[in-house]
Amino acid sequence: MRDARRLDGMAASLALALLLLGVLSAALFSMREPLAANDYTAIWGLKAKALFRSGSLESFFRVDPDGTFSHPEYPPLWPIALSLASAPAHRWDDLAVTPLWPALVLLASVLAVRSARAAGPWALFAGAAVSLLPYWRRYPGYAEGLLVVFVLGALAQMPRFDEEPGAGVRVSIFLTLAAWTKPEGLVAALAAAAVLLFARRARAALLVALSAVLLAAAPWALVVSRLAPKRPPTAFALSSFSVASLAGALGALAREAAPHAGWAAAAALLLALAPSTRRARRPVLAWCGLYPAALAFSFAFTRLSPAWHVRWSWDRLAFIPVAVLLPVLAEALAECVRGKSAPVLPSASPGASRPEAPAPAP
Amino acid sequence: MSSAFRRTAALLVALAGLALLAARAVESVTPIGASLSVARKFWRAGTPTRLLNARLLRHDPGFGAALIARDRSWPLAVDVVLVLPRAVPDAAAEERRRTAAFVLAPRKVTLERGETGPEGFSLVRAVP
Repeated sequence: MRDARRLDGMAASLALALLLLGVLSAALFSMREPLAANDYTAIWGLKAKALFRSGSLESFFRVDPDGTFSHPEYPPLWPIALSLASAPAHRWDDLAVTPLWPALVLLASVLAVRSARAAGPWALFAGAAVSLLPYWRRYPGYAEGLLVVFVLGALAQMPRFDEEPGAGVRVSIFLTLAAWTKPEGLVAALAAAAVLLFARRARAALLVALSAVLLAAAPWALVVSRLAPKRPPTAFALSSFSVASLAGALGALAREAAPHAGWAAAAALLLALAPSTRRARRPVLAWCGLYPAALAFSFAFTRLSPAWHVRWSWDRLAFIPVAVLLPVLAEALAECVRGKSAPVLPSASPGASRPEAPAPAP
Repeated sequence: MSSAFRRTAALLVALAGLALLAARAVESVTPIGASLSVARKFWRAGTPTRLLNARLLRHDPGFGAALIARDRSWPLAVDVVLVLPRAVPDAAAEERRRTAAFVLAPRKVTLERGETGPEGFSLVRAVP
């Protein structure tokens, strides 16, 4: 017992140190110079600056009326957040908005810890791993930073389904906000709805899907149709469906991801060693498969070169499911280290057999 | 499978992964002194100096200075035409247009080919 406590204490200390390292290094990296990465200046920062200086959403379409590079059809929440972050400075400044980035890192890490609450002190490793993900240091100013916060926020509510009646509403709010952040947010919401439906939670599934579509995607599409001088060109179209594009994208994905296969093998090994976690977190694991599968399938509809698309987006697209998987891996680690099943919350796996009561912490 | 094996294997995998991630995180900001020095310079500078020395414009200071000057002197309602010589390749021209669009936002920046001065570009007000 004493050994187990000492191990838990050491694990908590190490995880906190790593979490601190992750947040501080991301803070220093992002705040040492003004945000200026590619998509920041072409899309997110451009729109935020235009909005801040004009005070009108119309400026999203004025800066690039042909929609050749700024994706005017993308949802507006991240540029709005950047614009608000610049307000205290009373002028647009790409350095003044940088503190938003470590704030997102911290928020995502805390939500990852909350998502892995069954793992006790080992849950801190989920937060540490999220804060240490290379995305935070490679793409400061991009929208996935906000998107992951909303997706992890929804994930943190999942185990509360049976305990708190409002959890389903909170999940739908988080995923609706995700749909206001990036088109992938809508995919995340619809994938979550599909998983909830499969887990026999039809009401929650309906709430999540309808909320994301009717309260995010539809109103924004309406705004775009009203304000855009012409229909923005999109990189995807139903008429462009091609099996060859899909095959090309999957081939490119295999080439790009191959050097990182060790990470996937490590995650698979951890999960293989933790059968209880696998059972308890089946819906989350299903989401982690369904979401990237849906995005990969969307490449069948690309109007551009699928290899080009994959090359410039795959690691950012993978960031979200990886961040969602990390709390599950922390639970798997806890299960292995404690030498017995991790506490399984009844609500964590609606489809799985339900234990009488959560196992006591050692 | 023994619990000792599971524990050892899981701990090894997790700690190795975390150590790799931590090493990369440290690498991204080292040398720390240089990172802090760069941060100190940027945070002490004014907005135009920051913009001019940021990644977007630091390799094209003449163009950056011209953009910042127009941004300060022209009303936000005025749209801008960026004139570049025909010899500039399309991709490079589009790159400059995007840079101009960012600095001059919310103004619309369109690209034209034509005669320019010795700087290799011209920025003129668009005629409505």
